Amino acid sequence: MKIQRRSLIFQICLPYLIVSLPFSCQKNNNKQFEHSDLYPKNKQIQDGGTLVIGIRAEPESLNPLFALSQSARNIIGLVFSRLADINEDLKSFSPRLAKSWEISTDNPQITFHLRTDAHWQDGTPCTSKDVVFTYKMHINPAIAWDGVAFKQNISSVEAPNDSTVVFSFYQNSRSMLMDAVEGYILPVHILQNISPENLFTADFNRHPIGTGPFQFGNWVDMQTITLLKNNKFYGPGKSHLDRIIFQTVPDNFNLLNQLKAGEIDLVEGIYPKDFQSILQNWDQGQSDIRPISYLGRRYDFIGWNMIDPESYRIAVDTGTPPDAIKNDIEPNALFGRREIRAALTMALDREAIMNTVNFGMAVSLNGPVPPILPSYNESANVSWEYNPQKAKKILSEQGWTDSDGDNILDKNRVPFEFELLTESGNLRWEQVATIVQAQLVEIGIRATPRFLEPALLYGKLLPAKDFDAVVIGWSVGLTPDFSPLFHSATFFTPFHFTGYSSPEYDRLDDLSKTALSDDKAQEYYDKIAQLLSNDLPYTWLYYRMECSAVHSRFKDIIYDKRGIYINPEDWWIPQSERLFIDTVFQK
Amino acid sequence: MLHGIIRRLLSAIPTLLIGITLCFLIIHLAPGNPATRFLNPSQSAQTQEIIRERFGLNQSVPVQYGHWLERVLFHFDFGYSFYNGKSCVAVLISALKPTLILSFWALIFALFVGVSLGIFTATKADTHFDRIINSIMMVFISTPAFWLGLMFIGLFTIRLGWLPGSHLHSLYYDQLNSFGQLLDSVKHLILPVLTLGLPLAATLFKYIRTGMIDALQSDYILAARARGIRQSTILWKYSLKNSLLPVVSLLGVIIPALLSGAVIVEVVFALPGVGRAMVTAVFGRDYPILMAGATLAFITVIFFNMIADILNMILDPRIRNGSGGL
Repeated sequence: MKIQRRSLIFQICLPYLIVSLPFSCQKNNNKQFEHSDLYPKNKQIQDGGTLVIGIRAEPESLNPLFALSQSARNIIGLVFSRLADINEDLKSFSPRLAKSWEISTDNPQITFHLRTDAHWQDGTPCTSKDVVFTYKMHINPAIAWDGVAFKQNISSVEAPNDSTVVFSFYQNSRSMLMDAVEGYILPVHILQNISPENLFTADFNRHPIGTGPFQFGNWVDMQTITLLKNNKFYGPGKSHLDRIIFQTVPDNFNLLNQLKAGEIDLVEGIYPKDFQSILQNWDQGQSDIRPISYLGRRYDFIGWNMIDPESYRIAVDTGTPPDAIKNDIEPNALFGRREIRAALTMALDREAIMNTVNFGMAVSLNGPVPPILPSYNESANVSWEYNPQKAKKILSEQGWTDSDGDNILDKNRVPFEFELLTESGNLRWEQVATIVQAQLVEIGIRATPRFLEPALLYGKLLPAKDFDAVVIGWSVGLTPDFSPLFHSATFFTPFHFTGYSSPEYDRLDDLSKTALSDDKAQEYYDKIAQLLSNDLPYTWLYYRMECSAVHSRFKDIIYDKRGIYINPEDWWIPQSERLFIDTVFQK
Repeated sequence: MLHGIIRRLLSAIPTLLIGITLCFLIIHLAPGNPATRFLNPSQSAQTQEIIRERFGLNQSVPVQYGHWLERVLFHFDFGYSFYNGKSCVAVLISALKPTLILSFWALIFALFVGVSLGIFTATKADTHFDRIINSIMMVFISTPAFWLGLMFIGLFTIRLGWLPGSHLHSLYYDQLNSFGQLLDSVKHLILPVLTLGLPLAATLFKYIRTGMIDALQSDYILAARARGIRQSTILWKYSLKNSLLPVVSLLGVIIPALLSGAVIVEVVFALPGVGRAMVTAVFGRDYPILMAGATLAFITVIFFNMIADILNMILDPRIRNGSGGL
């Protein structure tokens, strides 16, 4: 018995000691960091050094035609060039491969004059032939390029000589320049021999050759992608950094620890809670990891299914032309009425949701136009105050009362309950769904959160519209385009999953696209914002701030709503602050 | 024995075929569509159809299966990854090396620690030492691999700063001399090998210890002792041989389990192995990679089970003489 008791003590105590060991060894971390000037005025820029960027997933492709992930796009932005880059105002452009351009509105055309000193990283000159080839690739159906919508108004692209390209348009529009310059220019001399059907598996996708400030170095599977300074870069200044290494670290815990340990210099998309810790350490001088935040490109919302999923399925299965069956689709029993969506929106303390899940790293959002766009006008949105009592009153007027005393509203003996879908593994959305559940139950609505893995969630949501409500978010482009989400013409397309339909909206949307002056377009955008924020196909929750962190030895980093890779060729490291990793490659 | 091996090989073929067919059906019939990843708001229906065609998803599941099987059987072509367009064979070959290195060293470590501690504690049964080792081994058996990995990173990487917590080697590996490269690789492998090897060592320890205690208390050992045979001969020649038999059978299960355990370890330690490739493929519904990985897993399981059976046959005369096994 004595032996058994001793054994029991061992069995319990030893595991506890072993498990608690890592947490009991406190690292002495009282080191204080003096932050040097991040934008030195009297600077003597020194070339050299290495930037290590931590990414969570390996890019799928470094071919601009197939890249979808943010990490892939970031790398591509360093290796390739566009004809022109958009400026911070998101209206004007700066020259890149094109040194100048002329816009003709009478016969809608843009004539680009290309630089003659731009070369591909293999030494071949970059000419107008490359631009024409790129356009052909962009519109080739076999490529299925995800930015093809930008090219819909372009009727032809011609190259009268090696340094001139003429883009012709079907009709005059405010977005002609943006449409023309969207997409990175590709090398015709390398890709012309590969059929578009085989391009998806081409070696070029993993060994790209571009014209940007950095050139591709090597790619170690699931480990690193190295970019080297492009000494043939045509730009005003070649890169100061010698190399950029993208290191894949799939585990978030490990990624942040490598950042804190100085093994990684830059991480984007940091979860707000972790960002607050980085911010605190920086403010207290306990770290040389500099927190960077800016209004990003993402917002989150609750999408209400305004149509009955079953009647939609039956209607689509009949196979008749879509427009003919549109009237057969019944409205959703719960969310089909605007009053109900308004009541649900008023029952939610959206500010509390925003602050809880974003730790202060978000701004409120009440309508469809993202705050980073020039067309954003907060006063145009209908603002729904948090007022659960009023919400209950509206629901009562709509016939939803607690007739059986079970604290859940019901109508004709049907309880007000629904499934609130979201993506499993997305901590932020899971938290939103849980808070929404708690807030709605206060007014007698039972929302059951259901977390689905992405392929399953989007499979239910996008093609099938088989859901009640969903918590998700969109990334936004640099021009407002709501048609795929709300225009009746896109009713049967995947992203129009709420089933919203409004002739007034369709009219305003069409007018906003054809408006030739910014003022006129703004008038329509304001009306759209007012209409959608009043009709509430979505309950907009918040607009997220991007949270990044970078080692403070990198100077002159410019960042804004366009992101953090605006001037990577200008980043530099003072000699006195260089680390082992900055010098080791010089051997 | 050769007859038995051939019979076993032949019976493995239908097992493999049934396994991969079931796997294909489960993967393809699961809700969700890999083409969803390519959807974007401005995409036309025609473009969506082209993407489905690119991956052969516009065909029925039986037709897709027929094409896949034909390519695999006659051309050893597992297709291209939906995610990055790379050949599945190339993806797996590239990922196999880190997985094999990790699994090999984890197995060596587990065998060394598990067997030696098992034998030693069996001779010291019911002492303080035995109880301490038992308790520690219980921790490693019951701790999930991902947690153990994070604990090691927490202790040895973050708190103490002794060992790297991710990747196969440092970023500046190519700049090091041969000895530096070796040292760098060893440093990077220690924590993943411990994470994968310790639970396995603990399992082996339990088997060896129990087998040894049983053997040491058996009549034939008692008789050997009575005849004055030396303790070391009793221990190493008679007891160990008998206690190793269940371990050899266990290896048939352990080695495939090692490969599946490597999945977690590779993700936690950012190692570019088969496990991580499979995790990425699962989340991205990358059917060709999943099927190639599943086929590899089936072959591994069947192969190592067969090896374990053959070893058992060599070591155990009862099996060799036809009273069981092959």
